[in-house]
Amino acid sequence: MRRHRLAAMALICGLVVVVIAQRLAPIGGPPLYDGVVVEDPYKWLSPPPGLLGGAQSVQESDPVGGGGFGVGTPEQPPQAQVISDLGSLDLPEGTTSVTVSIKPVAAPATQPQDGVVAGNTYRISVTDQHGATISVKAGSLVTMLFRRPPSLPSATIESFSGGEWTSVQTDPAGVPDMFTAVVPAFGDYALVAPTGWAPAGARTPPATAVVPTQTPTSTAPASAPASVTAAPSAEPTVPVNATTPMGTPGEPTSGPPIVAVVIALLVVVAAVIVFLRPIKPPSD
Amino acid sequence: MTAIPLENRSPASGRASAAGPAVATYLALGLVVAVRWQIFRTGMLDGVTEGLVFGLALIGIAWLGGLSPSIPALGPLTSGLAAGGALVALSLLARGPLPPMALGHAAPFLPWVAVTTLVATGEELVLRGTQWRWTAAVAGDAAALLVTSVLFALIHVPVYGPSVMPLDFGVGLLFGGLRLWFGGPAAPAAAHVLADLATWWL
Repeated sequence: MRRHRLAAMALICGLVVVVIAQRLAPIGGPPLYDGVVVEDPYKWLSPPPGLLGGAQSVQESDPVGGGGFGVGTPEQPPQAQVISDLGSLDLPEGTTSVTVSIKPVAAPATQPQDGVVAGNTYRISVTDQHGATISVKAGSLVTMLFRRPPSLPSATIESFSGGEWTSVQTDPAGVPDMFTAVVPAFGDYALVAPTGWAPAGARTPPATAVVPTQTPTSTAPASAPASVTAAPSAEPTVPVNATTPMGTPGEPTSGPPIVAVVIALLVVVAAVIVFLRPIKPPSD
Repeated sequence: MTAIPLENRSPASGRASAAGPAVATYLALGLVVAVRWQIFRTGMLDGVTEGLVFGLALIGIAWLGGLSPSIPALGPLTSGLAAGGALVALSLLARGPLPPMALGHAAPFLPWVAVTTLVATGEELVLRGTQWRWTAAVAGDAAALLVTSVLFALIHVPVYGPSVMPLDFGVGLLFGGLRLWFGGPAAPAAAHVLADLATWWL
């Protein structure tokens, strides 16, 4: 009886904490509690040797009638996402649809003062049905999410504007490898890692593409129908400047073969089963 | 390691005898979580293999801690599924008007289901199974509820970040309540599996 009373209290307290946590500190999306998250390998616009290229862009048009949009690049999970309600946008009179574009672009020549660009720099823009740029309304914020490359211990989301990088308040998104920030403007954004970071798995020092800052391109055709398009972005044709130091101390430059790891684990499990016997716990 | 018949000892002696295994299971869980974090951080294994290794290690801890397999009764399973459904519904109701964060899975469905079920069940067999029993033997059910709920929140921090702690602590209390009510880990395991599998569609 006492145990059932404690159980009832735990159930009620648990539900209350769950409701409060989801109202006050929502994690923004699945997974609810945990789970196995399987990610595509990180795709680079300008891949360091040994890592994958083929970073993708996305362009999605939505009618203004909807409440908002959430757009992400086609990788699983997306490497860059933007979420906003339409009320946060400075919509010109007569706007009937908005086109959201997320495009990986070559990293600017200027590196952040507080670290190194980790992964791709993404240009995020919103236009109306005529291709005119739409900005975030003064005092409003939009949410951005970026997936980190493997082996990145910590990162800050930074925006590149006016020839310099500016960090924004960055938080873990509550799902593996994702960082999120609420920002007051669209533009060029990237994850910035601590100085000295380099991606695991790169065979030689990673290349940092250096190009002059580009003007955002208009992506919305006039009277574009609601659609989603995604295509691999072209590799930059600019020279690369390999300046980032190689490898964090203690960081493996490449993982051991999976077969070897699995065999080693099976040997350990077999040894444990052979040499250890389970202890008997007290019954309930 | 050998069996320890606690029921033949004085309460103080029984508590002392249970403290060692309780601490051992905590250390083993900490080690397995640390290894998982290292695998995850370095990208050494793909997600399904990483989950498989983590799940098998959890089952190993539960087995070494003395949890023997048995077929659960229908009542705890259906009640657990109902609780899991309630958690999913709560999560959907709590969503705002904006689209949620996209989280696609880069894995085939069936292997993902198998590994997700293994990991969720393994976590429950350790936390609400072995660790619960040893902790309750040392300090009572209330302490077991609190400790396993805190641990449930903590073990998710390395992969998901600290922002999930309040939610996971609440879920830990709820799963602990199910465990107390039904006297075993079957009900919380059913709830946990359902809540995790729902993430494929949400």
